[in-house]
Amino acid sequence: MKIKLLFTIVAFSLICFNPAKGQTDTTKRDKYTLLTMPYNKRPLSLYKGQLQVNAGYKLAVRSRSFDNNGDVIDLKTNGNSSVSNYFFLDLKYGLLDFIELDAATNYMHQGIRSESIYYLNSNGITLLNNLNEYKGMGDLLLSASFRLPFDFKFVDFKLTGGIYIPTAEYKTPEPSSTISDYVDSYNYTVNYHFNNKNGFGVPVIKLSADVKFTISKFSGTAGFTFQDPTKEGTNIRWDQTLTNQTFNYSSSSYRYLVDRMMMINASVHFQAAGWFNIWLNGNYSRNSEGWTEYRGIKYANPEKHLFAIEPGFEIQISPSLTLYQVVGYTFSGRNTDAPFYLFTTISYNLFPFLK
Amino acid sequence: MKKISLIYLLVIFSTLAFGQTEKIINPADLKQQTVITEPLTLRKGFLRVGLFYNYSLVDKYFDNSAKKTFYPGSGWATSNNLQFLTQYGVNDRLTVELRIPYTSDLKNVHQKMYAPIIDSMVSANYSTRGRGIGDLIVDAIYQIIPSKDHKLSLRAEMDLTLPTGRKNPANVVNPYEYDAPTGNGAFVVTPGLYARLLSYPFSFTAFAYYDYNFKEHKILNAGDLEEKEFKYGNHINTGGSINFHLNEWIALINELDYDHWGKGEEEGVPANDLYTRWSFSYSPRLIFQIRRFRLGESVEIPLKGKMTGADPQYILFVQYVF
Repeated sequence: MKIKLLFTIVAFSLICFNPAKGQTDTTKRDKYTLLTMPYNKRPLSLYKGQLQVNAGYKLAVRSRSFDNNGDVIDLKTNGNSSVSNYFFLDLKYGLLDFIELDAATNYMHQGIRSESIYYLNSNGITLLNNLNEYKGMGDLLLSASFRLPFDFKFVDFKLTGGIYIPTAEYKTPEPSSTISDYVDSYNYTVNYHFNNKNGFGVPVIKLSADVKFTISKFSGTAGFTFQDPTKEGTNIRWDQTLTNQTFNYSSSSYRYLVDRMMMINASVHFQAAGWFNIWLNGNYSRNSEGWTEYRGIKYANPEKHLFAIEPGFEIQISPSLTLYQVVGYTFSGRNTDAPFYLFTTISYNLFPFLK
Repeated sequence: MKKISLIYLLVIFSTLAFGQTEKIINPADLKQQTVITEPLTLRKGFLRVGLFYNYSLVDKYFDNSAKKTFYPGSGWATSNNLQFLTQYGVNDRLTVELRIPYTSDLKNVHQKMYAPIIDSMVSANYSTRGRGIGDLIVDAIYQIIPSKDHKLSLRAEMDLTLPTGRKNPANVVNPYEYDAPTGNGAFVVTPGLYARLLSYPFSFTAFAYYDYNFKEHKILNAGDLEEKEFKYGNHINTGGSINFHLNEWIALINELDYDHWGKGEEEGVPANDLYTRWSFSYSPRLIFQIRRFRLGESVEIPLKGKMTGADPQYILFVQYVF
């Protein structure tokens, strides 16, 4: 009897104190655990069966640019500052724990004004305003990534190959210039309005490699990206003549080659809490080898260089939702704009085929 | 032995019940409530301080036919506005508030003029800056239907804008180059109503405010020698929001606003450059409640309008409750 009683006491004691055993790390890789995996413990690609939808918006304030010598041009005092609105949509799927498929596209809208010019003559003043508008969907990028086929602990490596399918309506549409404030044939305002589209117009291949290291709460990543057009493209250039307040347009075609682009980037991440990751990223890009045809002669596009610093953070709002925000500041460059930008992305994650 | 064993088993079993405690709400918890769950005014004795930063620029606008278009000329303007906010709960239904704005505006105009008849060219860069303290706002907020016992609560507000900011242009070089005013130069009274229906984790709001602008005198155009009488058109702001918790400490606010500005007057007659304007905008806001700290960011996106700016405004803010 005493033995039975003693056994009962020990058994109940174990049952009652069992919850304390729950305070240990679980190694079970359930859906919730995978969706809430912090950055420092996450591999470079999605988990098998994971679907990720990313929607982002970038507001870029273009108030500076770099000239051919790398000197800063203050666009505010040149009369052609502008704002760029860039929207981004990305759909990723983890085919296996080490293979990821990706489809991405974008939409952008920007209007670049040139300086206003007054022409004074003996009969009055003519004012010329000039606007170059860029608007439209970008090409569709399809890519596949392969990472090391074992669990991520401290080091990960990923190779990505993809192609921009020229789905965008890239051909330059007719200008929509107008005349306003018309008094007489000497006193009026000409509003030149040139319309441009988004997209490369030809297939462009993309190759990239990324590596990631994690030590405790710190992580480091480095990457290399290469983009190259597969062939020359053809587009339309518009000429215009003004007759009695009416613009007449004529078009001619020209050939071009999209720039080859190379970019390297490196970042340091700190996992401040399970739901909060901050980082500092630096990237350097170079665009070269492209050309544009004018009157049958190929002219090389200016070689562009740009170095930018991007601090950012990631907040896990819920198991499915993550918010990313990046601020970009361009430090140096040549022949390119130097915008200040704010990039916000919402990421929605799920395992559609996992209970 | 049996008695000892039974007592021991009872003690063991009783430990299971310890987890079933009721959460006690203490004053510190009340200071950590989110924008969705907090009352419409501060509780008695609570003090809230906050800093709001607002960034906007001029690139596009809605023209007279409500069409979004780019500004045609080669100009550029940005506005950086910092506002310090202090709120104090006089009692559980009445809060008083003081807002102190600091403005930093910049406007650049770049032009070239060719005059072939005299074989000359002039390039002109003009900058207009406006930096300094703006118009202070004092505010009283009272809960008509208190939040404490009702899902539907209602508050009334009365704002008074004091023309403390500089009302006239200073250091005028020419009509395009001067230190811009940092204030509007007139008193404004703003009564308003704000209602909220709380159904956790959601809340729904509706609001209406009316700005009545008083007549005043100021220099209307840089370079003018005399102050003239003016009156800005009165302004109605109305709208509503659907809000919900993304998790226990992050709230998403989705607000729709309609604004209408009446035509202004200069020396008693309607002014040509003070238009009747309206705008319809959407503002998503993410608000993070980290204990007594509240961090928020918002983008106001103009959807439609007439003679109003069409560029988004960014707002960042931080608040703390003592």
